[in-house]
Amino acid sequence: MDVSTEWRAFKATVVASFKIMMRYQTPSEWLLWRLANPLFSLATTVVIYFMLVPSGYSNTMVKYTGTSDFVAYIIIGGIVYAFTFNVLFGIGVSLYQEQENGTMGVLLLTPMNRFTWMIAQTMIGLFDTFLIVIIILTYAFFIFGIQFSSSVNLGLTIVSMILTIISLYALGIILDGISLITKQPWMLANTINPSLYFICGVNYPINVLPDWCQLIAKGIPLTYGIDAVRKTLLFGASFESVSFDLVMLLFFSIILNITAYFTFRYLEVVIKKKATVETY
Amino acid sequence: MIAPILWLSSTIFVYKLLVAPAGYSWIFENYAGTKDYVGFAILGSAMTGYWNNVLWGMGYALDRERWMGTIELLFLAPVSRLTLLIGECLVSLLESSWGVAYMLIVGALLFGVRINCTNPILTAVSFALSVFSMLGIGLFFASVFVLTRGARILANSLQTPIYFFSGVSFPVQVLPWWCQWISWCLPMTYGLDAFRKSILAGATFNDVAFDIYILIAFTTVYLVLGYISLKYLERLSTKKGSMSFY
Repeated sequence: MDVSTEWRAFKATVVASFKIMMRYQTPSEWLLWRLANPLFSLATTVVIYFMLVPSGYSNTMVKYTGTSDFVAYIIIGGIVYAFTFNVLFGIGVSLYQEQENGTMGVLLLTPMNRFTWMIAQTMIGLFDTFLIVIIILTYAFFIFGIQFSSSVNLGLTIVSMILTIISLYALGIILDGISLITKQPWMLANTINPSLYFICGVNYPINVLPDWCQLIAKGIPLTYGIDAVRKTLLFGASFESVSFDLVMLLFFSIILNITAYFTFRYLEVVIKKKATVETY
Repeated sequence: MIAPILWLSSTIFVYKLLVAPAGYSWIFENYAGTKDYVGFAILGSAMTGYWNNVLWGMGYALDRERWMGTIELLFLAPVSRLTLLIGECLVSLLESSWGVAYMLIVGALLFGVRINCTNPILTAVSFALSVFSMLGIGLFFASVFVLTRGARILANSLQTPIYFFSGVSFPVQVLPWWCQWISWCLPMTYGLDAFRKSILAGATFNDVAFDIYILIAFTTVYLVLGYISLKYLERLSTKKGSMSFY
């Protein structure tokens, strides 16, 4: 693999996906959505909380989570989950979208590495998600007055996030590969999306779930990612406190990415042999 | 079939996490007229399905035709635009109806939601009026979506504010008064209230009469506005020759 060629292709794909995104919307429309959605989602969470817990203190919540700050708890889950959403609906459906546009055959003929292309495709979405996270945090701090731990180890938070994103990318690549065969990426992404949301503890700790659900949750990297980021931001956890989460995330990042690589390679050969690249 | 159960389960676990010892919230009961938050949430989320489908089905209908390069031919056809748009929307509405029925069955069987519907006709009327008022809004959006290439973003941007102000996840009475003013201008607020009361709280006509009258007024206004904006769009884009522009 020629690194400089791949880098050039990577940059071209990022620029192309940026242009495509901005063709759908003007900058003001883009900003409107980014500002409105997080604000009202957060406001909904706050209203539900104070409606259900008028005193602002829930014993059960403290017992299971160690904090009574439901809004901060939910926000952190939501932030990590925003990246999952980007992967599912970014990488997960990217090849199928090329097929719909009639460009997948040509794309598979290019001498560019498929993984360079897939990762480049999501860069704008990733950047977009980072901006949304910044907007959410701005609202959270300045409008809803949430507070994180005063002894946050930001380095640990960033490492946990990066490892989570790397393992999630593998999931997206596997999903993209499967969609080459099934031609149903939206159905898959729309089923996986609520499944991960429900089981990985985005809004609650997984120990409130039935045992069999907890078992499944422990086999998904997102669970460890959310846990590690929460521990570092809410409780100012040290490296020792999140070391198990980090080891699991590292393990999943390696195993899942190797699996994703071979799965995708295999499925690409299958569709080429069957000549079903452009069929539905 | 699986996704609605999972979304619903997520809501229920949050509810259990927060109010497990008491089992219910007095503020919620006070304003919603029921202790059953799960049933309340199910119906709220089911109605959002209608809202989304009206937007996607009707609002995007013209945008989709433009995307596929067929909008000009469509406008040349000797048939009312309204007929075309309602036709486009019907399938989406049928799909949403299946969603509502399914979620109610799941709610009753899996999550113990107690249906207390004493007047099915009232339920059907409040439901039909809610849908008609949404159709009016859908018509309006269908025109706006042709005028701006950012239709999807516009619809997405409106989604959470409308859910928030119309009380999809909570009774609007828990909001500050200035927020409630916005809520009272949205037909979905009245539709949701009447629909929920008639299904969960066994409401009589008198209990939801105010909602029903307001819904009739909104439905009429929005349908007329929607029709006028559609006509205006047609004239404007024909004059400018910009119907298939992006």
